[in-house]
Amino acid sequence: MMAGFLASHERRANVLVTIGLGVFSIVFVLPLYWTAVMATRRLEEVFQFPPPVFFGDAVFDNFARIQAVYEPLAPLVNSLIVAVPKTAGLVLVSALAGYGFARYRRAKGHQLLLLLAFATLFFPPSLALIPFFLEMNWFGWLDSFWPLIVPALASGFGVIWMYTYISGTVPHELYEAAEVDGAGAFPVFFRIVLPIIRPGLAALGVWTLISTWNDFQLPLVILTDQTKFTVPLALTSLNSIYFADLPAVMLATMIGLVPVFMLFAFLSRQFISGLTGGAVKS
Amino acid sequence: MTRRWKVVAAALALAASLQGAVAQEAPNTEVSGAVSLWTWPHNDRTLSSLLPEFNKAYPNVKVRIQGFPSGNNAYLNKLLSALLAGTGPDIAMVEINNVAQLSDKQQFADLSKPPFNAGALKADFAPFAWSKIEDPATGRIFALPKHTGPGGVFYRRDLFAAAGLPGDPQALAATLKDWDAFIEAGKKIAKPNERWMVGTGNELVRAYIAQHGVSYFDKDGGLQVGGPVFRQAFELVAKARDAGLISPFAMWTPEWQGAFARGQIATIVVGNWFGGLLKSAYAPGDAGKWGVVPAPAAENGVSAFNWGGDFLGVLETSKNKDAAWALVKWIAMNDTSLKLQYEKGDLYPAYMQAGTAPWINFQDPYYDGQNANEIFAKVQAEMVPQTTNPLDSIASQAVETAVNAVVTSGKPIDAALAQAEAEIKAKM
Repeated sequence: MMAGFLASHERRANVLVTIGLGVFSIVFVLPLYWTAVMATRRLEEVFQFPPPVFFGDAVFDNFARIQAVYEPLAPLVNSLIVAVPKTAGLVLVSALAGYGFARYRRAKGHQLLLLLAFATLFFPPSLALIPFFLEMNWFGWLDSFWPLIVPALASGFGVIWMYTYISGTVPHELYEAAEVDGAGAFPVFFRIVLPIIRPGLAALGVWTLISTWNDFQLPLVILTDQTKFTVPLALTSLNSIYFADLPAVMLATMIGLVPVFMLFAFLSRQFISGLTGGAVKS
Repeated sequence: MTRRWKVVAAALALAASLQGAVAQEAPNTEVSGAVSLWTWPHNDRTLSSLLPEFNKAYPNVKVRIQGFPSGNNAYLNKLLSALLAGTGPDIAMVEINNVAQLSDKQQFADLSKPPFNAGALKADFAPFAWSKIEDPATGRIFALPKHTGPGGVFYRRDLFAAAGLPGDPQALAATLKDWDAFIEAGKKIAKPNERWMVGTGNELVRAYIAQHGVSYFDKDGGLQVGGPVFRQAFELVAKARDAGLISPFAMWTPEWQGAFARGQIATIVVGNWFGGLLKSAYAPGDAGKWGVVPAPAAENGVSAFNWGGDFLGVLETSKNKDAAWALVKWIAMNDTSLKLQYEKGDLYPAYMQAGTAPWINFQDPYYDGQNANEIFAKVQAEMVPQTTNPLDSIASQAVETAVNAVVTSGKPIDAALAQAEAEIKAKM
């Protein structure tokens, strides 16, 4: 009887929690849903009050207006060209540096270099924009994708994140055992450390990918050729100074989200285990 | 005999005019090369659509138009960093609000010097626009005026007629002779939570201070917000607010944009280019319902004010100044160019001669047959230049916030002005 009471009590609690989470997720999903609705509506319908809540039939008209301004898929390709190599490179460089910091703690300058990496986190990026721009001009890299990829590979945040993650998940005894076996620094990293820290890599990767995908300021300053525009820059090309073509912008936003969704679906298992990975550490 | 003479005369006249036309349009093949021009949307599309016409006149000049987002000073920052690095375009378009930040930049070529010699063109442009680009002390000319924004009042004929007010522009202009009359008329139009006389308080402030020739700063950089003219402008807003004339919507928001098509906003006090937005975006289905009258006059009797405008400058780093200058002059002065730009967005030419052209003086069906240029041409001739300052955009934002506080939360004028003043001074 007691057990039955507990079970029904627990079930009721579960139902309540489910309803609560359901309501909560609607709050998060609703803006996305409404973006999708507006993407299928005519301009004058978007401005109606109360606003429309169901899908309309203007999606092809809206698509045609995007097409009149730019090739709708080109910004996706550009954003992928920037975001994928940058994310992969940043994660690899950060993991290697983090591994070095975590393993060779008695190395000369260990504290100083770590402090330097840490200090970059407190430097406002907007301050560095003009010097960065001049430097890229000196390299002859303006109006190319290089400035958006290469300098970002050395990420203070990435190094600190991987240093902390590796220090917390890879026990020092492992290095000692490997040393006894005569394995070099790189084989240890690739064969032993890398498989252990995959969740940490995935978390850093998703964070880097999303922030790169949404970046506006840096691509704006660097890129001049409209055919090289990334997704956020292309979106703003649809607006004029005094007027926003909301349905076209919303449709372009939805199109711009597709690769992010696909990559996230692909990486979500890694990402979620990255968040919970530390919880069951022995 | 006389009849034959007439035919001959007509034939001769036709031949002469054809010859004139041919001579005028003979393509210039001497100027050649590639030039790039930076602007912002939609101007990039508008200017790109002109290029086939430009290339009829200059077949050997290859033009590349590049548009960058204008919001949050994005275009300005892009241009400033390019100026620093010397990587800018041949031609840069400059919005009137950024003139103060850019006019003293030496990276803009001085157009008063050869090969430009723009000083000779001074009489061809509206004095208001010219005053923005020529430094009276040094004679330096940093850009050529393209368009201005002569201001007036767009209004809904049907709503005025239904409220027992004149729907006809001539009669209504007499009714809305000053701002007090504007408020009295508004009381007959406005209905709580349903319809308002104007969308925002800020448009009243902008028009009112411009009519007094006052801007956020005076010539010596002294802050004018908190001065007598701003106080009067805010008092005007408070009066309109108390009478329920001002909508709760903020300018350029979707709610505000939609209110025009819903017939909830009876007038807007703004630059002439707003007509282009009404026709193409905000209320394309309301042709024949709108009309234009001059803005109500301020106490000094001035009705004219300016809102908007843009300029074209050639950069010192341009390797092809002749071609760049040919393009700048063609965009800002050629009749076909100005006509196409007017048709695309009611862009009002700073080039004076265009004010008498048939394509700007016509019975516009959108305004129920009214020739809106009868009003705007007069404004263009009368408007007084306001002093510009690099901090204008910060000041205008602070003032707009203060006006909105007066309108929506009933904030006292003194407190609102004091807060705006403090906000601007903190950034000076």
